[in-house]
Amino acid sequence: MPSPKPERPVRVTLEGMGLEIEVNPGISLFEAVRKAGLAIDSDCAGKGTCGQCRVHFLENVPPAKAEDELLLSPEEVADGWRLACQAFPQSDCRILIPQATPQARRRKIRVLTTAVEEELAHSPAQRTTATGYGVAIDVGTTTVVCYLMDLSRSLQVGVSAFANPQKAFGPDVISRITYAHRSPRELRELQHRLTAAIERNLVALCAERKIAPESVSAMTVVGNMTMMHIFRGVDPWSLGVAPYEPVFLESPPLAGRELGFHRFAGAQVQVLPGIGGHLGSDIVAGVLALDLPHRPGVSLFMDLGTNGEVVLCSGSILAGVSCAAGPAFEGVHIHSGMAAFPGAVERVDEVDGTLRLDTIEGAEPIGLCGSGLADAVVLLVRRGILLRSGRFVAPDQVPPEVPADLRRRVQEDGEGRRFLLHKNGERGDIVLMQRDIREVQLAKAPMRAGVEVLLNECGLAAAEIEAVYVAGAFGSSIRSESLLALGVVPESVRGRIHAVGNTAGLGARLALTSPEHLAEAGELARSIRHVDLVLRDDFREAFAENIPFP
Amino acid sequence: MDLESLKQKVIDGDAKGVTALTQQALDEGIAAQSILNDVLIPGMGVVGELFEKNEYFVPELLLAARAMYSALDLLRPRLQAGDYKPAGKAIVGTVQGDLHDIGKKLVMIMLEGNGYEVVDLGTDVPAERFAEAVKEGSGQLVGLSALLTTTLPAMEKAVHAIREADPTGKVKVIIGGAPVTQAFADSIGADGYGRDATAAVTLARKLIGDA
Repeated sequence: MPSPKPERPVRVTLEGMGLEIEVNPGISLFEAVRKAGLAIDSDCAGKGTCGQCRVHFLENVPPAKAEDELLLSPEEVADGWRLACQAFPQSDCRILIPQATPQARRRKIRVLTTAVEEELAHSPAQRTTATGYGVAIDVGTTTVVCYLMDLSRSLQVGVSAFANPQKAFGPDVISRITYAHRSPRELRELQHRLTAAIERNLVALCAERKIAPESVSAMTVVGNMTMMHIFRGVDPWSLGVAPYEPVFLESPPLAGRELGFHRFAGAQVQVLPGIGGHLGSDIVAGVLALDLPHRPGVSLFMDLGTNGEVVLCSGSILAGVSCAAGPAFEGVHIHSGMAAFPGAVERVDEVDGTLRLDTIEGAEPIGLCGSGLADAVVLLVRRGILLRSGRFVAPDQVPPEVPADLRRRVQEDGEGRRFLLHKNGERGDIVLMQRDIREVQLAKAPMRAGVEVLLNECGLAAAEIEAVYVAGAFGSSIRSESLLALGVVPESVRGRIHAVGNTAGLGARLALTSPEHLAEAGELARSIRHVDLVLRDDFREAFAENIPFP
Repeated sequence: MDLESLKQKVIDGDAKGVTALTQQALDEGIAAQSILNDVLIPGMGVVGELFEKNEYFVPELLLAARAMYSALDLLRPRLQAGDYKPAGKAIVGTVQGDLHDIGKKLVMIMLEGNGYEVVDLGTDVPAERFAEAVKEGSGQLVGLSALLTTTLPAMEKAVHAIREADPTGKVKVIIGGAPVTQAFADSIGADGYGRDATAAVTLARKLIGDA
């Protein structure tokens, strides 16, 4: 039944923000809030499938839609919660956007630093004839990191990390591709949002370090294939439809002004080359940073972020895959999921028979980020609360040795079985639902299947892998034990897993400061063979086989 | 023999057990059609319910399907020799630009497990190919699958091509996949949207009936 349309715009007061916006007839609240320049969480870009954009109507609640009934609990619906993307306010009203409260806005992004970076910092400075400053940029689907370098000394003078502003158009590369393809205007919009954010953050960083932005003479940029295309203003559409191929792999050096930079108009910008398919220059930079071909024996490089990429290296043999792992470990499509911001539960442990949650910056728990999600699932499998198949046991079937504090958290109602992690968080209870476990299984199985396909492809056995290097935002926060217990990597690599941080950023800095490394990046991009998973029977089999927990 | 235990073996995904018990049932003179209608279809119905409740997941469903197909392989020659009619005929395919077929496979399993005959056009199927299959009379129902948002326009194209091929509107179109919603189904004029593989069966029953 179509809703009766109001004839004039309605006024919506955003409680707690001191703001009022106008919503025109036929425009969803979600669109209206976004048009007003405010952020509202969404994993599905407003299609009514993720449930992230829930807002609380304090008066004049619009009628509930099917999507509300599906994604919100009956109590929430009765209490005035609605999905902003499905809400078309009929009369003036007041709403509360939970994600936009001051605490959630004080988000800070942590920059990963690890032993490998320490190594770089302490290695003797590269000999270089370059002068002035340079910037190495790692454009992630979720996070962008800029490293400001003093080129004459190969010295890092500052770093700036911020959320990729394209997030407003969807959390994953496919939604960005869809948006960018609408028309050249939307493509430019995505490109300019990114370059503007880079410029703004870099100018601020330069000011802090008392450096004139105009003295930045060079930039190197890495990212996945979609980010590389959008950064250059190239329509990434072919990456979104079969056979999922990029428009370009290598990029000529460009002037900053061609990309939309103003203060960095004269800088020479080098986008590092990609490998093929969705394997972009961030993976090349990672392999370069780890110097994988020169490490002895067989090694595996896994970049676990919004996408999962895996490269297997045995001397000069290099092959890589990109796994459509699904964004569960970014907290997407998880009932209580969230990105790794303050208040996200990042560790879940059992300590003396009670559940212990550790959050980022020790803030009040709001939701679960990837590493906390992984910990929780691993704990539940270990305790027999989750069967190997991923099925929750019934509350009265919890094994007798499980301590009372864990036992009482296993619950069941009309919606199914669940595990209660935290009561009364900011966004309601933090729980793990049965379908969350299924999302985790769908996210972890393709990564392992990717490893298996690479082993097949190179004629190697899992036992021959001597080292596993795990990079990426999620890869750096998840415990090695969890990677094993979830089955992301084979049991034979126990004791051989190394978290290596943001290798993409490291590789970008190497290529920025040394021509040898830049040349090597080109060679690597050409020598890593891209293995396409989607049509392979061994991938399908390994995928199905690895859905259960080990 | 105890047909309940055959049904349970389908639910448990025990292909070997299903093969043995199906053969035994046929040897004992039980009609192939009644094994299908009274055992396999109800068994897969239970599997579908368990899947819908999240108790079963992809691996359990695939195992049950393998068990079901091992029985169907034994029944098929006899069914074809007799005057057996399937519950209906469906055409399925992943739309152009999309190579992902796990969702489509699950839909096929649930349709076949409920007595429908299914023609699989595969992945990356152009709109014209769907239209041809409809013109050839391959099915009264077409199921379109897409995993990527980028291939939703191809889904719309396929629906239009099917409508052109069947101006009387006798052939029904159902759609599904991660980026698909009821609203999208309405907007492109599909006859139904299914959230998961079991929903496809409910839709098929509603739209083209059941034997």
